[in-house]
Amino acid sequence: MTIQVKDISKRFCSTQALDNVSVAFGENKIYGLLGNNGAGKSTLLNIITSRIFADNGTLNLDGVNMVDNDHALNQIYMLGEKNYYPESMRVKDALKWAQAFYPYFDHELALEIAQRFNLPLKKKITALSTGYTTIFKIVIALSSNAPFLLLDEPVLGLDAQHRDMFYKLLIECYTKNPCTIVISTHLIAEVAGIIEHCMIIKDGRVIKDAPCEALLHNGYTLTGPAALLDEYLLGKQVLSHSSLGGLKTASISGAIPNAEEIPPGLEIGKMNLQEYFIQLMSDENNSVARFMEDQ
Amino acid sequence: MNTLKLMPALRYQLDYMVRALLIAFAVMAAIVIFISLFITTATFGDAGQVIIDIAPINFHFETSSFINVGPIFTIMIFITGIVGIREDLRFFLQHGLGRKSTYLSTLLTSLLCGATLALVFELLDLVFVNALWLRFSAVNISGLGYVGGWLLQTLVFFFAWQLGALISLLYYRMSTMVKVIFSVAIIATVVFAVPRLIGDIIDLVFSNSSDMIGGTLSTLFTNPLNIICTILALGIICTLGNFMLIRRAPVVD
Repeated sequence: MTIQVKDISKRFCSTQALDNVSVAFGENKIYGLLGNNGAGKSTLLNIITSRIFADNGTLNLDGVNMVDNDHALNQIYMLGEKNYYPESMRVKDALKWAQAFYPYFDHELALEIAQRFNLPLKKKITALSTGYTTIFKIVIALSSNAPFLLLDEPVLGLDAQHRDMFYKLLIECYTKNPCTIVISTHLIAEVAGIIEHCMIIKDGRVIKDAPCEALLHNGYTLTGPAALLDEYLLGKQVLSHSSLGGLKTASISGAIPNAEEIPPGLEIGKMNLQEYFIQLMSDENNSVARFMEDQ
Repeated sequence: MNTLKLMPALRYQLDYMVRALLIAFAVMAAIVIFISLFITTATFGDAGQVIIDIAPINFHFETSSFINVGPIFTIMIFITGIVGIREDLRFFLQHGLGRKSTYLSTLLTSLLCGATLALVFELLDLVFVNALWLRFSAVNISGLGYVGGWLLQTLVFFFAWQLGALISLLYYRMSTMVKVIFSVAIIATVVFAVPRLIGDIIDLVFSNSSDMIGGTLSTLFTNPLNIICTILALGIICTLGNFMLIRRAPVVD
C-alpha cells in the first residue's frame, strides 16, 4: 500500500504553504517529516487526510484517488495538534467509538497503554492537560492498527519520561504490527534513531527525500584536542564545528575515512541528523547541499 | 472506488440523539407532571387555567390555551442541526470518514429521529387526548388526521435540522468579514424589521390578497397538503445547500 502525493500545491492568502510537492509513503517504513515552523509539514498531512484541499495536484492510495475517500481515509490515523473530539466526550467513550470506526482497533491494547501512562479514562477529553491530551491521542493512534499512522508533533507537551515511554512504545507497536509511520516533528535529535527515511521541507518545497543512511553517509564528525583537529581539518570541507574547553568537534563532508587515516587522539563518529538539518536549513545552497547534490 | 462507511457514523449520531432526546423528554415530563399536579390540585376559581397561562411552554389558540411540548423539541432539533454538523464533521474526519458519509449520515439521522419523535408525539397526543391543556405535536392542522399529522411533524423536524445545519455551514464557510456583515444584517432584520412587518406578513399570507406574492404564500400555507409539500420542498432546498457547502468544507480549527 502506497500513498502517492504528486505536484500538490496549497496557498493560504499570500503564503505559498506547499509548492509542487511530490512524495511517496511506502509500506511498513518510518518516515521523518522534518522542517522548521511554517515549512508546510502539517499542511501536507492535513491534505493527505482530506482535512483541507490542495489547490492542485493528485493524491492516490495504490492508484486510487484518496481525496475524501472513506476507504482510503480509513487506512490512515492522524494524530494532529488540534482536538477534533466533542467537548462532552470522555476518554473511555472515545476509545469505544474508535473501535467502531477502525475495524482493527485493539481496545485491550488501548486500555493497557492508557494504564501505562496513567491516563484517566473517566475524564472528559477537553478537561485533560496538554500532555495528557497528547497521551490520549497516542493511545488511540497506537491502538488503531491503521496501515498508516501520521503523527504530527506527537510529543507535544509531554515530559521527558513520557516522551521516552512513547518512543519505546512506538517501536514496540511497530515491531509487533509493522505499518507506515510518518513523524512530523521539530525534535529531530529525539527521532533521529527511529526514522528510516527523511523528508525535509523548507518553504513548502521538499528539499530532501532520501533514506537517513544515504543522507548521512557522506559525512562524519571528528572530536579531539582543538590543535590536533585544526591541523587535520586543513584542506577538508568543514560543515560546522563547536568547542568546549580544549575539545573541539567538527562535522566534515566526504566519505568516512578508515580508522588508520585518523590521527591518534581524534575520535570519529557518524554525522548527526540534527546537525545536518541545521546546516541545510541555514542555507539551502550551502556546502552540505551542494556536496550532497554532487553525490 | 469510494466505499462509504455509513454504519459507524449512523450509529454514533443516533446514539447521541437518543441520549439527548431521552434527557429532553425527562425534563419535559418533569415540567408537565409538576404543572399537572398544580392544575389538578388547584381547587379555587380559575387557578388551573392561570397556571397553564403562566407556564413557560404555554400557547394560545383561539380562546383556549394549552401546554405544547412540540415547539420546544423543534427548537432543540434546530439547535442540534447547528451544533452537530460541524462537530460531527471534525469527529468523523478524525476517524477516517469523508464528507459524503457525514452528509448522508446526518440526512438519515435527521429523517429517522424526526419520524420517530413525530410518531411518539402522535401516540402521546392519542393517550392524552382528553387532557385538552396538553399537546405534543408542534403542528396541529385540522383535516390532516394522525398519519398526515405525523408526516407533517416529521417534515417539520427534518426541515428544522437541515435549516440549522445550513446556517451552521454557511457561517463555517464564510470569511470573517462576511460573517460580521451577515450577523449585523440578521440582527438588524430581527430587531428592527420583523416587529414592524410581522403584522403585514401575516395579513399577506392569510388574506385573500390578489397580490402575486400574497396569493402564492396563501396557496403554500393554507391548504394542509400544500403545507406538507412546502415544508418538504424547504427541507430539500436546505439539504441540497448543505451538500454544496459541506463537500469542500475545510476542517482546520
